[in-house]
Formats: sequence, structure tokens, C-alpha cells
Amino acid sequence: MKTIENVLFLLLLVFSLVACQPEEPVKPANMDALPDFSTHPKNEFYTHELEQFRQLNKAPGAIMLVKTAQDGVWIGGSGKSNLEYQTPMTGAERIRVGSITKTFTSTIILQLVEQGVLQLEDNLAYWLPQTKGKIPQADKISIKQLLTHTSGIRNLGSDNIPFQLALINRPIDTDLTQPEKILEKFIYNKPLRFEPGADYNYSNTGYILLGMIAEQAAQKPLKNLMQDRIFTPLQMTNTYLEKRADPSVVRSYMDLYGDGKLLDVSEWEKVYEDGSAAGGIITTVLDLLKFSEALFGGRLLKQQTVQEMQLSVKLPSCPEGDCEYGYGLETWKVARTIGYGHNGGVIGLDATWLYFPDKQMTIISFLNLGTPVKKDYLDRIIP
Amino acid sequence: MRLIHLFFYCILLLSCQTAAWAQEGAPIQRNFPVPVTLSVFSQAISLPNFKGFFTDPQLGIRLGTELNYRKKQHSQVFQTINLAYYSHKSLHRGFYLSSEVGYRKHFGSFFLDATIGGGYLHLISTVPVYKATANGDFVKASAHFHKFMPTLGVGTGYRITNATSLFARYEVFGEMPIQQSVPILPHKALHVGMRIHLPTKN
Repeated sequence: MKTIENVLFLLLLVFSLVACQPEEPVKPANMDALPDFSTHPKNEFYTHELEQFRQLNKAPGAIMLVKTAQDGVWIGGSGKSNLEYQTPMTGAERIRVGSITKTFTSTIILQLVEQGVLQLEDNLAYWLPQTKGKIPQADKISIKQLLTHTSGIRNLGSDNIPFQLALINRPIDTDLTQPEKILEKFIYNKPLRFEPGADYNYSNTGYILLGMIAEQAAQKPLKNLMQDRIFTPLQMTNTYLEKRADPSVVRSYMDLYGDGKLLDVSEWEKVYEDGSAAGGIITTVLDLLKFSEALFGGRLLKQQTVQEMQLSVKLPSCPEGDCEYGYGLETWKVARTIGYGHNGGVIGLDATWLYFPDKQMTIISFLNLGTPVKKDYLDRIIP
Repeated sequence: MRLIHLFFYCILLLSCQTAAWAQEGAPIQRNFPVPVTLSVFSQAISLPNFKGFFTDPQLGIRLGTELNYRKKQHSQVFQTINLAYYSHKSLHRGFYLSSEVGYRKHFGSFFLDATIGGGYLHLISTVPVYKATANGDFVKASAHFHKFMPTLGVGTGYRITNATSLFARYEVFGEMPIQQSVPILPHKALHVGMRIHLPTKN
């Protein structure tokens, strides 16, 4: 009988564990309200496009910012920022912007280049000696190749299955703010995908290494470099690069099982990417606009450097020979014009920031759903 | 860790008890030929490898039995039936009911075996779940998911007495379906446990 009692006790223990409820998201904090855009000349059109954008992508919430020289700024929100509390999205919320962070990291690197602290041709092993012997040809991979995703170093992203599974398994194992640990586990002693400079392969790893190089060169944490050199001078008061328990950040959602049910993956994103050089900035669309205008306006870098940032890599292996990526800036050919900016896709979000010099137009969009996103609205919004 | 301690305490208790029955000379397997297996396991979402089972383990417990289809002096073909529970902190809690067919080879008191099978996996999300309504809004949804789980396993063990064996098993199982572009979400599991033949009253 004792045996049966023991087994029953174990089963009881198991069932008591099962009875636990899922974690509840924290109640969102209020952000300062945005100005009223209802009198904006294109308010109705943009509102319609934003709603269509959200509905078409089946996302809980969406934000859009459009700025033109003629009509000024318009910001709108659609759907919900937090499904647990059914909080309406207003457009004022703090958002994760994923890989848009890469442009900030490249800006810091290029500032250091302008100041003569770094050279674009400096090699990886020079600044990070610990990579020598662990990353093949670390003494040949240049900062320029890291900036343009042509180093051949494997990506820590959707094309790295062990990394993706580790992220789902236990997000803390993929915390990109602990680069040495992550590199040791997923990158060191692995072959390059190709000879440095020979091909293009988008690589979060490259930008994590660039973050480490910036810290080494400037002898400061990257978050402080960004704060001192970008956020504070531009009065980006709602922007930071670190992990914070911040209830005003929009919740992120993902259809993990492909059945239309969305899982709240905000905590995964926070643990995995918040604070990282490759995708960890938290900001608002209004703050991102400040950055955009300062960058393209030559207030963060010399105009010549900004022009060099925009020059996309040309390689025969890229479609039509154009890899559409410069120094932390993507080239988007849409609506018969060219935009520069970056896309950011993490587990449960998609963010896009583009500046179209010909049109003097900035567009920022955000969805709190991780999915391949349709962006047809660009063709209609860009005149 | 408390669960592991509890499990090993139970294993020890059951081992002592079945050893005592064996010493009393009761023909245990003849009285109750269907064994009971009990194991605790550490599982992870991963491609098959042997890394990370002991660092902050995501634990489970499995209770099962075995049916013998062909038993020779040094080998047997068997079928398992298992009921298990595991906790995966960041994602879900899982229940499964599975069955496997297996082949076991005996080398004295030692044995090696391999199994293949499948089962029903019931998942309870540990993160909030929502679903879309007809008008494009989202509302709270059931946290329960129903999946098919294919399994593959290899194991080894040692027969302590005629009625009691200790074993270790390495198992891979999957969650299906996941997404169109992802056919399966793979798990790996390392079990340690015991198989006992419970006596019946004569």
C-alpha cells in the first residue's frame, strides 16, 4: 500500500503544479498624450491606411508616423497596445524597434571613425583580441564588413536553428546583452559562411561585435555612449538601451503555433534583445523621428559620412548586384523612389523606419505582432 | 530540485520494498507480469544533443507500463504506454499520453533498448493567449493546445532484482503541427527511473 500511496502523492504533486495559472502582464503605464492630429489635412487617409495595415496583418495593434515637408507630422495608433487590459494604442507608447537599433550602433561606430578612434579597415581581432582563434579570420574581418553584413560571421537570428530553439527553450540563454556568453555558445569555433567580403548575409552577430568594439574603443558601455552621444543631445527622453521593467512598452505577440492564437512574448523579447547592440532600443515614434532628422540632417555625423552610410554594398551574389544595405542603413526601392532607414523584426513585433530624401518624407510603422508583414501602404502613402 | 529529491526518495523506497519482496521468494513477475515504470526527466526544446539537461532543468515525471509481445532469453519486443507531465517555464506545461514499440537486448543484468512511437500532447500555455474576433479585435483565449507528438528513444538500464530495474533514457519528441514553415518543434528529454513488477495478492 505504501508504494501506491507514494505514487498517488507524486501524482497529486503533479496536478497541483498544473493548476497554476499563466503569468499576467503588468498593467500599462500612461504616456504623455500626443497632440491632436484630427485637423491634419491627411488625417482621414492616414487613419484609414493605418487601420488597413493592422487588419491586413491581423495584428493586435499598430502605430504609424508620417512626416512630409508640406503637411508636417501625423501620428496615429490603431488596435491595442496591451490585450490583457485592452489598452488602446495611441501612437505615444514606447516600442521595441528591433534592428532599427543597428543604425544607432553604426552611428556610434561612425562617430568614433570620424574622431579617429576607429578606422573602418581595422580588423576584429585588433579591437577584440579574444575573438582571435575563435572566429575564423578575425584578423581579416574589418569593421566595414561587420557594418555591411559581409563578414561571413554566422547570424544569431531566424537562420540559426539552434539559436532560435534556445530562444524558445529558455530566453535567458540567448540574452544578447551578454555577448561573450552568446558568442561562446553559438558562434565561436564555427566556420564562416563565406570568405570575408565575398558575399552578403544579414548578421545580428556582426552588430553585437560592433557594440563590443565601440565599448572597447570608447571605454564606455554602449548604453552610455548612445545616451551621451544621441539620446541626450537630441532630447530623446523616451529612448533607452537597457533592460527595464517598463510597463509603458507595448506588449508583443506571436502566433507560435500557426493557429491564429497569439501568445504574449513580451518577456521573451525583453530577456533576449532589450539592451543589445543589434536590436535592443526602446523608443517612441516621435523620438525615432528626432533621430531620423538629426541623422539625415547631418547633426550626428558629417554629411559625407551619412552619404557613405547610404551607399549599398554591390556584390554579384545579391539580387541585381545590389545588396541594398550600407553602413547600418537599408535601401528601400518603393513607389518609384528610394528610401533609407531600417526594418526591425523581433519575435513579436515589426517596425519600419524610412526616410525618402527625394520626397522629404519620413514614414515609421509599427505592429506588435511578429509575422512577415505586408507593407502595401507605402505605395499608396508615398506621393 | 525538490521534485528530484522527492523522486529519488521514492525510488529508494520502492527499491527497498521490491528487494524485500524478492528476498521473500515471491515469484513476482508471474503474479503481476505487467511492470510499472516511473521516471523523472529533464527536457528542453532543442535539436537532439546532450547539452544543458542539468542547468536549471525543466522537469517532468512519467508513469507508464510495458506490454511484452515477444520475450526471448536475451531480448524482447515490447510496447510502452506512458502518461507524463512536464513544466517548461517560459512556454507551457505539457501532459502527454504516448505509446512506443521497442526492442530490448539483455546482457546479463544490463540492457539496452530503442523505441519509436507517438502520442497526444496537451499543452497549457504559461503566457497569456488571445484570439481574434470577427471584427479584428482580440480577446482572451483558452491556454490549451492539442498536439501530436512523435517520439524516438534509446535507453539503458540495470536489473537490480528480478522485479526491479533502474534505467536511463534519452528521448526526442516533437510538437506537431507548429507553423507552415516549421514542421516540428523538437524536444529532447533525459529520463532516469525505475521499472518494477508490483506484486498482487494471492
